[in-house]
Amino acid sequence: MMNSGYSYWNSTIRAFMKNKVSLFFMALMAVFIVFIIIQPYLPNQKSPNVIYVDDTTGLQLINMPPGREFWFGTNSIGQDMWARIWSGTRTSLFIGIIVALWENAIGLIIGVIWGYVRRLENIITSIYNVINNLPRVIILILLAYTMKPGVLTMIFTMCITGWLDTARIVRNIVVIIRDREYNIASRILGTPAYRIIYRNILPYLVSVLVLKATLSIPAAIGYEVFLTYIGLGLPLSIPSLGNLINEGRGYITVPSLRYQLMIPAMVLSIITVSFYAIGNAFADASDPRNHF
Amino acid sequence: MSRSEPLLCIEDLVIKFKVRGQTIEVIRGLSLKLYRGESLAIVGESGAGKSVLAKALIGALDKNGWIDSGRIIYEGMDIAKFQAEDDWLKIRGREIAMVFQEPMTALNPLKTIGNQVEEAIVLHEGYRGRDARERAIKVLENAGIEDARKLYKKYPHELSGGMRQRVVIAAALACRPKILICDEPTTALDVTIQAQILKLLNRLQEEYKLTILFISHDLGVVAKVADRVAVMYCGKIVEAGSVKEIFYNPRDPYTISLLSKLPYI
Ligand SMILES: Nc1ncnc2c1ncn2[C@@H]1O[C@H](COP(=O)(O)OP(=O)(O)O)[C@@H](O)[C@H]1O
Ligand SMILES: [Mg+2]
Repeated sequence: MMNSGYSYWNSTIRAFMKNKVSLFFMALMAVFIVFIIIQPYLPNQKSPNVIYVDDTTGLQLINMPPGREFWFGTNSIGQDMWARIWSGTRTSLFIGIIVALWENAIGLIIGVIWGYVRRLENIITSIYNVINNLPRVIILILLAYTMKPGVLTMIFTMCITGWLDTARIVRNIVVIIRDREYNIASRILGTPAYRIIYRNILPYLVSVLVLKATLSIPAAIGYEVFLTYIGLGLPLSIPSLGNLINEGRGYITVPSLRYQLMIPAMVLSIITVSFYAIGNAFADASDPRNHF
Repeated sequence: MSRSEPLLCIEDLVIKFKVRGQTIEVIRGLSLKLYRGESLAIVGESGAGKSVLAKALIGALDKNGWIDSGRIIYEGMDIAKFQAEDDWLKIRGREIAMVFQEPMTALNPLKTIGNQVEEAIVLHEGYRGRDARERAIKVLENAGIEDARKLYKKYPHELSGGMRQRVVIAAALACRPKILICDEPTTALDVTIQAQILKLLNRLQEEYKLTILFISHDLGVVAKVADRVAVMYCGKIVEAGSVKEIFYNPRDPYTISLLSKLPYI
């Protein structure tokens, strides 16, 4: 497709560029991601895990409101919230992106095989049914419970179940498009299956996969928050949006300390809304049916 | 043109379908010979099984259907026995190609028409890049698209039905098949365009030394293209012969009733 001048990607990018709102969110996320990467190297940054102590009294600087010294305040044991929030965002986004990539890569491969190779249809359907009939939450809890808490455990637990939806969606699209008459026509003129998949079916999958992937990122962060909430999350020494929100949750009724919940919740909201907007706009733009 | 040597030999073919637990027999012991270089028309009313037969010849039966018994002999091979996709890849396009009824749905709406013809050339003739493109333009011109160079980058929806059918024919020809199956190639077109396409097929048959299997429910169309006619009724060939024999001396009652429906004979 690309080597012979078909302008699928050009059309996609052109359509995406027309959508100013999503361009704004895309710029926002770009700046945001650059920021959280370079943040530890900026001047005057504190460490996320150091407990700060008042030099004169020797007491921990607990629950300091946001101010000049601690930009986002400190938490209940005197750690710097600014540093913890960006460190936590890094962790959570890392989990989200890895999980999203995995879900979609594996989901795509299994979905295409599921939809195109008739011999494997029954086997994959059975595997799908077995995993899918166990509630995802239970699988997540079981795995998180039996393994050592940590970022890799978190990623692993989500990857076990994460590809199911993508695979099912991909399979459905493959089955529908595979039997379009032009694909049959192309097949009976001797085009091998892999070529039909690559050239005629993948373009239809791009829009769905992009949307899935961009939604997988906030969803993975959401699961991380949830697992933390039920006590199976990351240890406090590894800040994440999940354990920050969970820590802050206790102060929802105390107006003067509410910032400890509001700030991480805000960061989570911004990430979620931005990815959702970007994903939606790109899905529309990359749907070949919208190019005409 | 020598008609002595059969190129494709169908013997006692039975094709069944499974529909909601029930098995139905759609092709019921059909035998037919297709001679090298001829143009054979299969006529019969809708539902007779013409499309099923055509699809069976190219390994494209719907997945609830199968060849139950019988043989399809092509070049010494019994293609009725083919199972693997790889077997079919040796036949499809390069030996037998097919043109569908509906030229809109037979073309990929997301690819330029030039591309779709080029694809077949890359696949079957091994040309690449600019060479493939030049070949594609040539074939398109041959299929009656005069300004092929200009239309190369057009999408199917930008063309008229007749033009689209010419593209479909060009894509099939680009594979350089020995047999071209045309399943009601003009049914979706209006009458004047129909005549042009039929003329085109006649010309291409000479030019490319094709053997054509032409499927239609319209005897008027058949009279224009075919050397020989086989009349199909309920999954069987009830009568076969030259166009003259069938039109002026039909023996089977079904053929007679088909002819009586023809307005201008
Ligand atoms: N996939 C299928 N499943 C069940 N029945 C089919 C299938 N395809 C065709 N048939 C049946 O086979 C018969 C012949 O169909 P077809 O070959 O399309 O007729 P036509 O001669 O009009 O081309 C019809 O009665 C149709 O119902
Ligand atoms: Mg038909």
